[in-house]
Amino acid sequence: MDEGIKEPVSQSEEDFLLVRAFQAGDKEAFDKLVLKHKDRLFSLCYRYLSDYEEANDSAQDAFIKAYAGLKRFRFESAFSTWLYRIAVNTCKNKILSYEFRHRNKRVSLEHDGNPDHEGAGTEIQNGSLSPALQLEEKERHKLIMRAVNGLPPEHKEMITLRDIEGLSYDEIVEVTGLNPGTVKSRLSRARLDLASKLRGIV
Amino acid sequence: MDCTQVKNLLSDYADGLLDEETRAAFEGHLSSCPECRKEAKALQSLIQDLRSLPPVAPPADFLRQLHKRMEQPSRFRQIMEKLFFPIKFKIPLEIAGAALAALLVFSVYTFQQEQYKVAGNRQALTGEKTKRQTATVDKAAAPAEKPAARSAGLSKEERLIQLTLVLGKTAPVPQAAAPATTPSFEGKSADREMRVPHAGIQAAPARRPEKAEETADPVRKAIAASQGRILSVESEKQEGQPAFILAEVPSDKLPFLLENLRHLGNVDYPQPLHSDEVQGPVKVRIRIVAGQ
Repeated sequence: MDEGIKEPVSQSEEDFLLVRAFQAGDKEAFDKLVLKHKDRLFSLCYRYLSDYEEANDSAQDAFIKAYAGLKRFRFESAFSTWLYRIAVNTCKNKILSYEFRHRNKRVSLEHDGNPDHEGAGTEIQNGSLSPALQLEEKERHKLIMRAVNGLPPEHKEMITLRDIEGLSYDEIVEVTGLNPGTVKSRLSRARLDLASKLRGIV
Repeated sequence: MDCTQVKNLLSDYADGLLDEETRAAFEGHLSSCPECRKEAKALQSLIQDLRSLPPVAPPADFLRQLHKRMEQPSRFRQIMEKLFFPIKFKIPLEIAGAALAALLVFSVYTFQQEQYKVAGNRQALTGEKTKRQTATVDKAAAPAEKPAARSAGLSKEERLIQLTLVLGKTAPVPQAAAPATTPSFEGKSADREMRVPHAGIQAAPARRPEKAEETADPVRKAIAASQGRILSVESEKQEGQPAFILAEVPSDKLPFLLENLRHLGNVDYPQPLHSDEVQGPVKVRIRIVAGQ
């Protein structure tokens, strides 16, 4: 039955077992996968969309699509990579949708000149810092995210996947469908672009 | 290795992707170039900052929301997808607005066209009325019109009834035509005559009429009895040819005229007559044929 299926590469044993259990009919195994990956998936969606509700909507859409396709999942990539690919495509489609562009235009007009809406999600605070330092750090994060959101989409994607979400080059290649050379050169340009934008600011 | 090459390798160096030889050359340049060293440090710092950005937490009830969505709207979506698969339309507001405006313009244009038509029809009607009035005035100005001309210029509203009268024994009968030269229509009339009880074809007198007018005399009387007047008489040039009388009778007297004519012979007409349909005087063209 499992003949011809590639051995899972660099994926957690836990994911493998949960997917197997789901495919064997254990519906609760999917809930466990959701609970395990929801934070990173949500964060990824939030970085792409810069909107909490839209990120929530897209993360849920990604899980619904994963649920529909998980029976046919054959471990040709890690479950997490496969899940991120679904989420990234969902977010890209959302960005291209008329509703999102219209809403984004409206929001940017409403918040024109006010940087508070950037990074407006409930960031998990670093409890080890004093309140003053926390505030300073929060402001710094806002400035960085503002600069990231001001990058061209293909540069923002590279920074998001590699530097913010910490995906490996191989994972980025799988998630985006780009070839490794393109990922490397695009990431290099994106980093230099961002560094020049933030020079003298942070 | 120069500054440009170093700049292009900054990203790879930060991720530890340089091979040993390239990394040595890279670090050798950094040790001698404060500008590139500063750049490399700034990039390392930026990457560190990006990695330290705190994740944004999803709603606490994320899983419950997901369950809710998977249970309810997905069924609706499935139905919608089954109904409309694979075509999905997303009509931007601008296009919808443009379509609505186009529809509005079209409907206004169509409505105006209708208005013009109605106005045009009214004008045409008014014009026709005026023409009719003018015509009436012209008639009044020149009332003396020859009967023949009047018979020739029958208007569309006027009704002309064409009859064929095959004379019987009670009327003066013209010379019977030779069977070889008798038109087939007359033959048919004769056949009908055979079935009419009072027709006396067998007893047809051999007396020859002097003139066509003479032949038509009883017919004239019948027309006069029906309060009609004769408009024109076409006499036959040759013997055995039919005579024609064009008369005008009041429509209500038409049945009476027909009854009178039936006393003279067999009356044949191609169309059924309904005197109710006719208003005012009716023109009757009577074709008089000698019975056999």
